[in-house]
Amino acid sequence: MAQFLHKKRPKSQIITEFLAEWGIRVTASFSIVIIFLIFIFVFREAGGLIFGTAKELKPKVEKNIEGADDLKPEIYNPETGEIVTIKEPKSTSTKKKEKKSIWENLAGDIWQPVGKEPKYGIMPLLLGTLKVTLVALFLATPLSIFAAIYSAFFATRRLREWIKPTVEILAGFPSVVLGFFCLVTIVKGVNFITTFIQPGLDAFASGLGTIMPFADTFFREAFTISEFHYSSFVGGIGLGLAVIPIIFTITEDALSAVPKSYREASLALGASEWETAFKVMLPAALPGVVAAVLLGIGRAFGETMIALMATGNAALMSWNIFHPVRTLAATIGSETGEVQWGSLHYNILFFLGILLFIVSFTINAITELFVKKYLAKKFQGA
Amino acid sequence: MSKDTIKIRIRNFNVFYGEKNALKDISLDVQINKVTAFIGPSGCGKSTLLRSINRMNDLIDSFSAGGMLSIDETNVYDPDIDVVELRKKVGMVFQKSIPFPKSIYENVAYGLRLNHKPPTSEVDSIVESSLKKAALWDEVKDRLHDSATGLSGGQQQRLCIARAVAVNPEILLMDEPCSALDPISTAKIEELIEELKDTYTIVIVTHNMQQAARVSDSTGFFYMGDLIEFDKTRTLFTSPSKKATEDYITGRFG
Repeated sequence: MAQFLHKKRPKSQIITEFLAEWGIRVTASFSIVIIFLIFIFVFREAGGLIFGTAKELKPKVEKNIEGADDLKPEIYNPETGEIVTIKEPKSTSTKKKEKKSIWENLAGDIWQPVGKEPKYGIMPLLLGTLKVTLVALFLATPLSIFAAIYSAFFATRRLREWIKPTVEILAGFPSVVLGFFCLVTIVKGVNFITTFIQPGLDAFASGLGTIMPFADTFFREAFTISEFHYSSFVGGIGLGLAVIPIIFTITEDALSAVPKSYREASLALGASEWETAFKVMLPAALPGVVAAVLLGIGRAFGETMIALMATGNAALMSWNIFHPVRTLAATIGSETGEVQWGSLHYNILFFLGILLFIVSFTINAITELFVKKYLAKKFQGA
Repeated sequence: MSKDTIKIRIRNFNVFYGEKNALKDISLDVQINKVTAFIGPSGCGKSTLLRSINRMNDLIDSFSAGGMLSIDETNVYDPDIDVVELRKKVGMVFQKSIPFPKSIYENVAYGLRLNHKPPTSEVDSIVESSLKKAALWDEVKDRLHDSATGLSGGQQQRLCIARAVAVNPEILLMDEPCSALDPISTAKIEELIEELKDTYTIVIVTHNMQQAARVSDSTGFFYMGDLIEFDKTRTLFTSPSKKATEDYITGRFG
């Protein structure tokens, strides 16, 4: 009865299918395995820190450098513009510092990984990353969302066919080129306009201060222009350039995916194109827009080259957006090449890598969960 | 037929999509507070004519129109016409009844809140009266703030009618409003059309000839961009003057 099931297929066909199936399987597993190996590697390298086995390796000093002992750790004081030597009472501090656990050290607010008393305070790095990311998002989000709305609903079809690929080219730009552009050009522009925008920034700060009176002085300080050339502001513009195509493309796709019938129904009710775009199409595409912004955050957070080149790369503990910063990724990027392998510093750099991992993992998880839940609620009825 | 009973006057109206002449020299009158139905096979131009009345065809790049199409003696294609105002006056119900992904209340209130913000009490009362007019109030009054996408197909279509009615139009255009609905929902909508025609002038496009016969007062039969015949519904269905009309309504083609 089931004879037809056993009909012989040509052998060559069976072999081809077998090979194709396994080829695809192996390729797919291969990429997953690579990701796993990276994960394991990063965690292993940071492992010394986590399991408490990491030790400060004493650098091998070939011969005593004259005057080396006189070198004292120095810090730049942004308020006065002076370089201040950090005073440490030598006799008492050495003992105290020994007792300080590595986690206490990490929670500090000075990042000075090289020196007699290495300080691994990651707070300025976290703060710097946060500042640059915020500046980048603050610039890129409205720009790219408005651009996406324009491209999806207002541009003629021919114009749209130009806008989208052009912005997408920006996504494929090597970030070192963007970084160089910031380093050379944007910084000049920023230094030129900062002379004019201080009143505007003051107004903005006092506006924020009115909303949140308890943080009034904080906002005033955060938006005061300093004499630094490279700052989180310049770096933020650079990161914004990198983030714009991501938010733009995904938002544009989300807007285009909203059924055309919504637009027709809204227009037929006597809504203008703008009302339709903002009151119907944008809310309907909101999950996609949120996903776009979250992915943009992820990119800004992990971006290394632009942050390294355009932010001044100094680990200052300051909320002022016109002060130089050093981001997590830029720290890894600039210090890994010179670090002593296997040292505590080396472990800590990988620990920073783990932090970046965790953040981007969290963002991806939020995107996935939030967006799916939201979509389900919005489009399948409450 | 006296002049003031004519709501929409169409004379030698032509529509082109690029080179293609989609409607050829259409002339007909739509009576006030009557239901006018357009029937014909797919691609005959009936929907094009309907969508020309509130200028929804403007959204199509290659669209161009010639001739006259006037509402209350004002040419709709006059360059001075504000399309937004026109569309407030001419409501439309689509074949696909996709309500906005908002609550039932927000869907109906949407048109009201365009341009200006009326007080909440006013919005409340208009939402209620519109839902009542669309015979949906009793079914949704307890869940006005639930998502509109959770309604059944027939309810969604009536919600779309309520949404169109809320802006207080004079004309209602219906583009195959029942083609995606089951017979019971269809019957409800047809009942509703019967009631709404006291207040509004209704133009309906339908594939369903029985429906045209049931709900309309006048019917136009379109074929290949031509208006073959336009007459009182009873006359057109019982003693059509053209052979093509007879063939179509008796199901010999189309």
